[in-house]
Amino acid sequence: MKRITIATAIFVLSTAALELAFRHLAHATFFWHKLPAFDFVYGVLGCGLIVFGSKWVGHKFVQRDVNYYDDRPDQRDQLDH
Amino acid sequence: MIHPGLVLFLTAVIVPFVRGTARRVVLAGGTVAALISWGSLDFASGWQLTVGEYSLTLLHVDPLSLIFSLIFAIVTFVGILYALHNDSAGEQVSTLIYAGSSLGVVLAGDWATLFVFWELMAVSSLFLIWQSGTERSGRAGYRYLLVHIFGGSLLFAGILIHLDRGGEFGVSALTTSETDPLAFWLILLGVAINAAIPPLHAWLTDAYPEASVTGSVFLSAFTTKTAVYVLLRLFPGADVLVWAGVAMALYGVVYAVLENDIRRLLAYHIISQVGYMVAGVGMGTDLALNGATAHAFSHILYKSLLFMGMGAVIYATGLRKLTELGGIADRMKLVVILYAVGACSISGFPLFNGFISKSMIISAAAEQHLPIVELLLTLASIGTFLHTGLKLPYFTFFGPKKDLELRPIPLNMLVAMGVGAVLCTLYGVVPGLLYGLLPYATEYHPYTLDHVVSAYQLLAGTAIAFWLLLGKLGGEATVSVDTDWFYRKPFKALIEQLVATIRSAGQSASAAGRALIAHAWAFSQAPTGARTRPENLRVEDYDPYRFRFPIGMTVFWVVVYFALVAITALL
Repeated sequence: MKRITIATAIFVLSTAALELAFRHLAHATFFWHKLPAFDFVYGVLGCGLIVFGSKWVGHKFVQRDVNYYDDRPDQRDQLDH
Repeated sequence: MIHPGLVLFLTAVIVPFVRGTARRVVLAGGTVAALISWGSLDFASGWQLTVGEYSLTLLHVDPLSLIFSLIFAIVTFVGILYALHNDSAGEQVSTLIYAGSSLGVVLAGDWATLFVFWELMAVSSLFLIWQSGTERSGRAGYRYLLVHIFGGSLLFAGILIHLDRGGEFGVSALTTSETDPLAFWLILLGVAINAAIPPLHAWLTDAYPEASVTGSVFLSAFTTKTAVYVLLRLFPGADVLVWAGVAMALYGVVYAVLENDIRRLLAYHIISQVGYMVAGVGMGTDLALNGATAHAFSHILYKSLLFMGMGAVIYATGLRKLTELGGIADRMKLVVILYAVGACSISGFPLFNGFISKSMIISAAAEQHLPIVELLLTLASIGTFLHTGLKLPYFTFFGPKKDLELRPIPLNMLVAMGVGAVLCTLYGVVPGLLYGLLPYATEYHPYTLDHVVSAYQLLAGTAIAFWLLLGKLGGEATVSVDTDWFYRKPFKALIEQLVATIRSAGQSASAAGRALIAHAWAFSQAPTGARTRPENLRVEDYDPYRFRFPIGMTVFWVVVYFALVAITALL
């Protein structure tokens, strides 16, 4: 846990430093293109949003029992080729 | 100049007549010959065929059809290599016809040729689904067929209206201002079904995971990508496609979270990835159209590699659910490594081919000042890495050990995956190889510092969140209700109810008829004649089917009729 936290911190700080150092080369169309480490934060939050959002939609509306469509109860289909 | 599709059709004709090693040589030789014949294509000439008053263009080459036909020829070679151990002539012939007709669509110069190959694709691909021989694949195949017949009919109706209202017979871009609106929307809907744009997508995730292991590799490559080709050809810059594409990209991601079946999870990510291409077509700038084309090219390579990887798992274990798999990585090391190349490619790791194409579409969105589109496509990209790059391999190969028995994987399957992995990496390392083939003249540099840093940050952020949420991500033994629910539940019930009603009406009518005859019998006799009912009049035994032709007879005469029409037209 500790090692991963340290490695992540080093990665985020060094890439953010790179972004700041070479800011003048970047193609910044929107303001977030200029924010250092934006993509890392977006990755963490986006991933959380996808997991929690989808699970919520799934449990609330989408997921059903495996035999919902009257298929054979969880049959192990033999696929030989 | 030789049509590569024709080469595959000819191979399909030979295949059933040879066996064993000879057949493998024919299959490999045929697909290599198709690649060589791709090399013979040139922009200057085409194949024309006059049928009656129509001049068909069976082979039309321009930069867009050239790049699509190259990738189709490549994936046919790789897929056939993967399937070389499989000795089902039926599957091999349908595969070759499916691949050949996909080439037929992208090289078609007129509506009639395009439509005929479009339908041939639907029919031949159906047999790849049925080939797995399970009961479920049988039912999924029928649903697949019905949806594609419906889609084909929309397309056909659209084409007829388009031609009737003075549209050109040659295939060219349709615009809302110049095309009849009904024709425009019918054609768009027909193509949208094959492109699997939600809510018209459920046939894909329903049927692809039920196909044979070798068949699903081809399915992942052809149908949706020919549809992307047709969208690029007909609807560049159609605004509606931008948002349809974004919705697709996210829709696939949401369902992939919930999915337990390994190939169905990959199938949802076909929808997600095709979403990028559809959005690119909708944006319509040169960069976006090149991006959509390049991404179709990359996608075919990495997606077939991913399907081959998961196919190898199914082949080895006989299992297909995340909840049943796990702890097999140390016994399938090579498959894990080759799958990882596909996963890095689809996730957009720099130096792999997904990075050089997906970033074009996202950059095109920024270039056009579409901030929401850019952010949402990037969000979908997070979902892609989360599922195909982390969740699927983690729970399939690593994760808790389950004491599974593995059967050895044939060498040809591993070699085919190796070829796929080399190509995914090659195009990632040398993007110029792909960019040189793109149809529009734009310059794009994927390997700028900000692109590479952003990509790694996004991937690292996703990986950290995955690690934190690992406990929440395991497969759940459920099925996810999708838009196929409409025809699998209420529509099915409606049809059953209608059939029951008509049946009971028929039975009542026939009972009433019998009662009438029984009562009327006495009145039909001469008043002075015999009053008793003769022994031989047993109306209840009347069987109407004895006096009807079997349906095969009707089909036979229809085929004969069309054959005669075709022959007279050709003469």
